[in-house]
Amino acid sequence: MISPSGRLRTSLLLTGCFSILTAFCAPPAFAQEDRLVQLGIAHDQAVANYEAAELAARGREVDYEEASRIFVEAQNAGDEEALNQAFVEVQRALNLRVQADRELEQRAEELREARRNLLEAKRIYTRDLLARAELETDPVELRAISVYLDNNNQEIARIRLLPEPEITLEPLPGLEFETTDGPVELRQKAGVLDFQANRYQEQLDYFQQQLDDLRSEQDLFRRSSDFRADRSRFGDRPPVGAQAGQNAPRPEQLDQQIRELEAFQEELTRRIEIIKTRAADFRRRAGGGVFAQ
Amino acid sequence: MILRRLLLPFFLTLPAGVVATPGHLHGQVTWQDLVFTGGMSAEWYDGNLTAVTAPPDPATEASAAVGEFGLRGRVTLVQDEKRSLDLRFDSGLRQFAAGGFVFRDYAPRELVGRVDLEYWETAGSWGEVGLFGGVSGRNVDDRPPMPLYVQPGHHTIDGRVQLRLRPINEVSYDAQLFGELADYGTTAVTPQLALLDRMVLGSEVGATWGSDWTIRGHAGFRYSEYKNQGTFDPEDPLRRDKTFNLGATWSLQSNFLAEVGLEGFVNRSNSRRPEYNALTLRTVLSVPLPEEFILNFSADLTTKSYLTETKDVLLVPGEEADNASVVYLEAIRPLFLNLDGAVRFGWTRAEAEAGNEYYERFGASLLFRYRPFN
Repeated sequence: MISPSGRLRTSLLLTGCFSILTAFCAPPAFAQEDRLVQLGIAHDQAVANYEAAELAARGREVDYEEASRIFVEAQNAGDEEALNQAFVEVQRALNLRVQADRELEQRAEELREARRNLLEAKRIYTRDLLARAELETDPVELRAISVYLDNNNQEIARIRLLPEPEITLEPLPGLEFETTDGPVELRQKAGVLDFQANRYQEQLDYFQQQLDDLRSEQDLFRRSSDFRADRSRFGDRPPVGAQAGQNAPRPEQLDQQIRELEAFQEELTRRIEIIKTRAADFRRRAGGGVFAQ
Repeated sequence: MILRRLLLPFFLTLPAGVVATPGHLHGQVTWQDLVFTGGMSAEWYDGNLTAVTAPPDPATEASAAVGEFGLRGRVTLVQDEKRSLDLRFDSGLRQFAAGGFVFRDYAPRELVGRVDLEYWETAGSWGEVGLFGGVSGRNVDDRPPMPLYVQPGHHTIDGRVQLRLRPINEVSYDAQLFGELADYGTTAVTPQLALLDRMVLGSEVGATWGSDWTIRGHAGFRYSEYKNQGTFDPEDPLRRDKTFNLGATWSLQSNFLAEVGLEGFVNRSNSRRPEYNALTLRTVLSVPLPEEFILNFSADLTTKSYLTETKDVLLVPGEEADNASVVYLEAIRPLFLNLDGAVRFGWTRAEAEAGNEYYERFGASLLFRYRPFN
């Protein structure tokens, strides 16, 4: 894997080579070539940022798993002081992991946008090259255009094959009931589960905020279209001119985003329920004194 | 007549079919939106503008209490990465109890409906192609005289082909061809409504800049034939109009929605009477307010100048030309889950160049909108 800084250096090197080629080989002079280079650098930077964030998130995940392992070991050893220390460490590790996952999600969104922009610019470039080829009669120029076209198409295919970053949910904690668990261990496990449930709740609140914003936007679109529809239904408004706002995003795009976030919310709610049920079960077992002897 | 007989039962049974259908159908078919609207209005009319298509009455003032019901929806029939097919429908019933006329009171009833199919498919690296087809029907019983203007009943069938190109240097281009056939229903007392029957063919090209806010400039041409209108020229007996339009629309999509458009029309005809130049300013604004209120505002302001003055002023708003100015203001907020309440005020004014004739309407409405599937 190329490191983030290495990737950036490679991009700059390629950009330099491309500029020199552009100057000496006299290729078709399109204004969007500069923009393509800029978008390519922005995309590579976004990939580098995403990979760095992913690496950090994986590191935090390992730290959390290690803290969990130490917690279970302390629990099995029956060392109360070590257990309390491990409990604090698990909470700290989880906290850092949540932060790292949020950073990763932000970088993923930046990468998605950079990729969209780059692909769109490359599609435009292909179209312009084709238009240029239709007008060109010089066979040397035609060959040059053909090479540029091939390279550009290969680049589009390559970018399309790159894996899409996905929204990640923190995994469910793997704390299970064990026959050696006493009331103290059970209550501490319940505490860890509560802590994780709170983290999920924070993630849920974050999605809720995004969902609220999207729903406000959807409400505005809907009420604006209701107003327009009711106004024109009976022909009270003269049908004048062309339709305006043709580039406004279709409301179905908003609907799609809302549906995706709602699915995440459902999943988080389900996980919170599972964790809370499990924590309640641990407490019930701890409070019942069944395993105290 | 045949078209009306075919369409009306369809529009009448459409709401029942829609209500009886669950939120999601089989396969790819998905309900995208369904809105019921019900409301009542108080309206006042005044003016001395005459209409050749309405029964005569010397009254210059009238008023009406109005109840209305509407149903609108959108269903996606097919949707994948390359294509989509949507069905849209909109239907409504409006009942007036109108008074203030000299000869008698009127109780006009409007029954309207429209169905559209919209198909989009990607056209390789070029962009996307859209095909649109629609039919509409409108029936009016007990149509009143001016100054209560109710657009006459008619049926239309229309189609459109639109090409939307991918942006070139951040400018999106689009082009469309369209056509329309309109058939106005006549009655024993208003056979002259057939004068408004028309066939329209047209085209338009547009270019759009921007992302958060956009400006779309467009230019179009429209050819209209009125098969029942004469020109008194034996060598060219039927009216044919050519309309050129040029305009621009600025749109902003932020935490509020705004649109401002300016459009000029030049209408030339082989009949001297309807030759005119017009300029229309259109504005639509939707703004969220505190307490979950949303304020909607729209204004279409038109100034129009005919090339030839005629003694008989026969054009009325909506019948054949965009010669009216219309303003609406609405405040809307949710009342209960899926139910909105709205208060709307409307004003319309149309003026004729000759004889200081005008038509004016004021309305205040209370509307409720219900979305069963949110």
